Amino acid sequence: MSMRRFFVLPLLAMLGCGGGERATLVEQGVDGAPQTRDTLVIAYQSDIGNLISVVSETAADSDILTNLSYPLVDSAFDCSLQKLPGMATEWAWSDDGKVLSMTLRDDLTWEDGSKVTAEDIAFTYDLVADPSVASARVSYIERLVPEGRPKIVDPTHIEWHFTEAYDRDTQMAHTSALSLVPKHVLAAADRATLRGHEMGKKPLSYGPWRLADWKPNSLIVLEPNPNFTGPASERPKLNRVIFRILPEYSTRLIELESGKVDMMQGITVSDADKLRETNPEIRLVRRGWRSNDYIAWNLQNDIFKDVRVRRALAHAVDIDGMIGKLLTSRTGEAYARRSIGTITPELCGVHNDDVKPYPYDPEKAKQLLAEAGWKDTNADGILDKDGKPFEFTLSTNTGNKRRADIQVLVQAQLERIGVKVHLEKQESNAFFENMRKKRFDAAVAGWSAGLFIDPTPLWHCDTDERKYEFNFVSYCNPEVDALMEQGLRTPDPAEAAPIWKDVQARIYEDQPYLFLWWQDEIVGIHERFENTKIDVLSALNDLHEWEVPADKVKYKR
Amino acid sequence: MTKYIFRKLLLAVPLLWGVITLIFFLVELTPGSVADKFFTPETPPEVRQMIVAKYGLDRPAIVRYALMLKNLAFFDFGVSMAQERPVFEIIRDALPNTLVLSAVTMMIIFPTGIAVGTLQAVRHNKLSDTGASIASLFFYSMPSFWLALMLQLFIAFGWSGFIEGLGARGVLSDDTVGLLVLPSSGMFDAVGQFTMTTGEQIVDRLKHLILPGFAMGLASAAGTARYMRSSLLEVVRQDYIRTARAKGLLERVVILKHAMRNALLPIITLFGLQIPYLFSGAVLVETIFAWPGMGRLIVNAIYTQDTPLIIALFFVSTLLVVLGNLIADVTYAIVDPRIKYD
Amino acid sequence: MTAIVQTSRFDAPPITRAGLLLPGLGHLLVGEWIHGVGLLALDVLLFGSALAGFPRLGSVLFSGPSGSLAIHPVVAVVSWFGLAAALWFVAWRRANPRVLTDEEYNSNRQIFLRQMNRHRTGMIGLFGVSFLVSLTLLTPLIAPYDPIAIEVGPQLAAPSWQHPMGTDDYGRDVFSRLLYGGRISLTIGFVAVTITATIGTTLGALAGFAGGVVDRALMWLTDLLLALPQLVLLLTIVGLFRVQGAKGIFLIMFIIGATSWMGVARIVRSQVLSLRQQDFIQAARALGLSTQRILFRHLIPNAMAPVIVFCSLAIGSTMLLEAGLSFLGLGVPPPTSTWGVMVNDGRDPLRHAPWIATFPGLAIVLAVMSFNLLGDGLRDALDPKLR
Repeated sequence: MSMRRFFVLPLLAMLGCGGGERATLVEQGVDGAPQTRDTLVIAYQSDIGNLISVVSETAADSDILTNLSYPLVDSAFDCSLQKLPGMATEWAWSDDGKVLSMTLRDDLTWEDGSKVTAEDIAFTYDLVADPSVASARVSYIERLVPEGRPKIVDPTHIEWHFTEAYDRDTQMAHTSALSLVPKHVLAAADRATLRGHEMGKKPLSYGPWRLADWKPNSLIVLEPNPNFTGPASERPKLNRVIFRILPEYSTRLIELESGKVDMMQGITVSDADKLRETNPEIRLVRRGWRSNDYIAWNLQNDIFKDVRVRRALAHAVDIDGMIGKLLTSRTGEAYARRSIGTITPELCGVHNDDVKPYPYDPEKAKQLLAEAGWKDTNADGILDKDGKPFEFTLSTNTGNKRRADIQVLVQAQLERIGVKVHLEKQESNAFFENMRKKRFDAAVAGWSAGLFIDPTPLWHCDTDERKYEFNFVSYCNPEVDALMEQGLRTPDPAEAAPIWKDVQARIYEDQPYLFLWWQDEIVGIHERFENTKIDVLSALNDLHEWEVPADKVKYKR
Repeated sequence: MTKYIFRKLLLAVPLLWGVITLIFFLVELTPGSVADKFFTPETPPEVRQMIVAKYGLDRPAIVRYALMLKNLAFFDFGVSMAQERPVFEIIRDALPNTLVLSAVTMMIIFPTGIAVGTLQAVRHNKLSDTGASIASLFFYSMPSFWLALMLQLFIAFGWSGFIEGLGARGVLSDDTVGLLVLPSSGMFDAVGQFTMTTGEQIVDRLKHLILPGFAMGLASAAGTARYMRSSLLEVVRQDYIRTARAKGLLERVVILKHAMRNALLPIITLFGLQIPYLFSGAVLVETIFAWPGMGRLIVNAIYTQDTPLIIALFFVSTLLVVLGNLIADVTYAIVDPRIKYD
Repeated sequence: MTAIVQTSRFDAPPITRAGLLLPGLGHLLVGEWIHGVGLLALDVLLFGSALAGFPRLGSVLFSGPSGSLAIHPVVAVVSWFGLAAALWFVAWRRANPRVLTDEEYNSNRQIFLRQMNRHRTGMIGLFGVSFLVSLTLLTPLIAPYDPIAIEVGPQLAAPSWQHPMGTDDYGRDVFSRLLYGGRISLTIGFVAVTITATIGTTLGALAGFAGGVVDRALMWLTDLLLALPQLVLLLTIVGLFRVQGAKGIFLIMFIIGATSWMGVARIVRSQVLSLRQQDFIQAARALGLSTQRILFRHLIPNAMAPVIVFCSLAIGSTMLLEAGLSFLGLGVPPPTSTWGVMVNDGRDPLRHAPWIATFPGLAIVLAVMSFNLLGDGLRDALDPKLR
């Protein structure tokens, strides 16, 4: 492309003149008759980065990729991840639990007409395993034998060979969570520069939707994939889905309220209250206990080494009060519940409901601290021990209102028992970097819960073979390690459940975090959309099933 | 004339060089390792090697400096690790958006400012003059982002509510309602773009330009009005204006034909001086109105510490400023016959 | 030879003596509206702060909020008395004007004072600025609540009698935060402009006096910095050097100061260039005075007039800059809050709690307006053409 074309096209596009692609878009949607299908406009927070699944990293990438692909094994959620047939129509485990065989459908095709085959699956995982690609999903192939990821028995039968018998949910998740990449396009690509490949911006779809347009930082448009060869019942019932990229929360809210967008995630509780009055046509949906907030204590810091101190601090903070203040609507509906660990209550078979969270008891807190040797010897209002005052810095990342609120409230409450807290906010990337490098005293942060169980990245001691990157607090309890490993090697979830409950109870006793709560995300969607599936798994589940009855269609063409 | 332009361009080169050197020093002085600044943890080793070779990241500062100069001279800005795209592409996508916004803003600032300033000077010291002065000062003292927020609120709820109310009551037709309701964010109608004719699309884009343009331009328009007023007042005191009046010419002719020309001269300098402020103003306004331009890019680049992008944006913005000043100088030279250009 | 230009003390008209009762009253009664209203406003401030603050004097003095750049409450009490003294002095002076000699009357200083007094918008600006500064100094007395105390009121409450500007989402009183935030905003403005003036004057005088290569080099540097969009430069510096806590405030003050001096330098340079040729400088040279002495004792003081004008306008633009930086989250780091930070905080709740962002924004506008008006007044008063 000559230099001129570089500039002319964007300029023309900017002025709204027709480029080739634009004309197609207009033609496709209309055939003269009024559209009986509607458009869904979503207010979205961030832009996509790269749509090659192997190297994609952001949540936006996953949201879009899910719709451009057909899952190997589909999932639903009901107390645990349910597996439904997808591209794999049936599957079976071997007796020793080390081989998973799958039967595949053979009628799926890429947008350009080539068939989606087992070769694509093998190629995708080959890329993940290749160090020059530096995929972030490298943990998926951890327990896969190199020749068995997967082994292609014949074009419609594959076998996954594992190095050991392991928790089956995890194994299945790792082998079916990744969208496939087309071998016939990328086989010849230079792997080191895979991130720069055109496919990252113009992916080939094999799912119900295709990427019709992407204007960086502006919008993403999905349209029904005319070359979709999957089941007819899975063809989209909407005309189009538009993701408008609006990084500012208040802008997204304004657009939702004024009717310019139909859907928005992450609405705050007080805004939801308001919306009920001003916009009754917006349905407010609760997604479920997907994310939790906590305060991490750096266990390498002398102040936090004594477990009595950590328990004291947990008693000194009125968590229920904070829920009341920050996450409860004016009508008294609470959008958060106390948490006792990092395994979500949504996994109802596994969550230990018997562990009772500590009550708010500042007196007990002071008593525990006194037992641990903290007294106010110099009457300056701050506890001290061996001449050192009880003070530390509580940090969090910028841009998160709720965590900033937590900082302020916790600081005030801890001051009442004689603990001095300094507050600090760091830019998100810097903040997480510091957490990973364990450069903090205490931090307000959060996790998005996995829907299958593997607490080891957070809680396992570092070993010589492996450093557990997400164990920011340097928690190390060999008994808990042993239990976790045992749990992961117990293939039957029913057998493993009591082990996990034990793990949760022990970790709560050890208080490596001040566990705050699980919060519910509020998603607003215009009421005309039916068959929506907004739940723990995703806010955009099964987008192809969402529809609008003909008499309520808003965007008629 | 061409020699004049050439000379000015030549003078711009040491300026650009100075800017590049400055930004190099800044990046040098920032805390953090080279890896933090140019890579993300996920960058593959081959890519790292390539970048290290290209920017000489393992060599002493002088070598790095020279390499940077060489790369910039060829407009090779490198690859943004955070966005995983060549920086040139990122800028190429965003720059036209900012340019359009800036152009529209200029088109709002200057005619408004000049018109108001002239009216003020003509009705010097009357009530309308004082009133306009106070209003001018009010807008001049306003932070552009605050104005943007207030406008957004007002347009999205006050104005639109009002217009739609009128539409619902049948006072205005649906088409008029559609025309009058102003959008409160974005560059174009995301849904409508597929079904609007080219004409409608142009109108749509213009509508989307109004709010951000005003938010960015109102303060400068007020400033321009002030300058225009004092400039015109000074010109009007001159003898040749008195002569014109004495000749019996209509006041309107005197002002528009004789006084304006001379009064406009300093405004033209203002034109060139506004350009750096346009860039700064765009940063704030683009963030609020979700305008995918350079301003938002800079803010994001700084949030994510995306060094190649920051360097490139600096370079490009300075380039634009230098160009803007050049245009101002040349226009001034053309318009003012007193200036000799050799 | 004396010229009796105003009445002597024993003939002071009783209507201006009314000002001794309440400063401003005297001015009003003789028809000086702006002075009168301005002084009366300051009176209201004075009495209001006394009423609000003195009963709580104990708690104000000994447990006021701490925080970076918090001026000790004792300073507030001292300034209260200072303000009272100043107000009554002005009233007294109006009632008993000085007798001036001819030379005094025609001195530059007197001419300047008279021009200022007559300049209506300039005086509005002056009173505005005085009001603002006094408000800032008297904050510990006036602010009803601790600005960082949470839950002093219901969350997100609309303006009411208890909370004249409402509360934010931690239940903090917006009015108190506005007052304390204003101190920081103003301090940043003043300090940054002082830095600007210092750097700019020194460099400009140097360039103008030394001439030649030095001049060309300095002017090139000036052009260079002028070519950079200031906000972008500031964002980059703040963004790259992430400084926490109180040090962040100093960084902001310093870099705003260090990137705004170009205007001052140019002004001073042109002043020095024109002054250089004048007789008194030639004489000083002939007398053998050192360069330093000539620069600092003779050239610079005479060049200061337009610099002062520039500076008062610059305080306004500095406040806008700082607000812009804080708005992007790259200004003053938490927990300090300035008006810009408050507008930023008010962004998310904008839809249903607009007061959190509106009042700080208005405060910025009014403050910058006052400084601009004052600057205009100073410019006109110092302009020899208008005499």
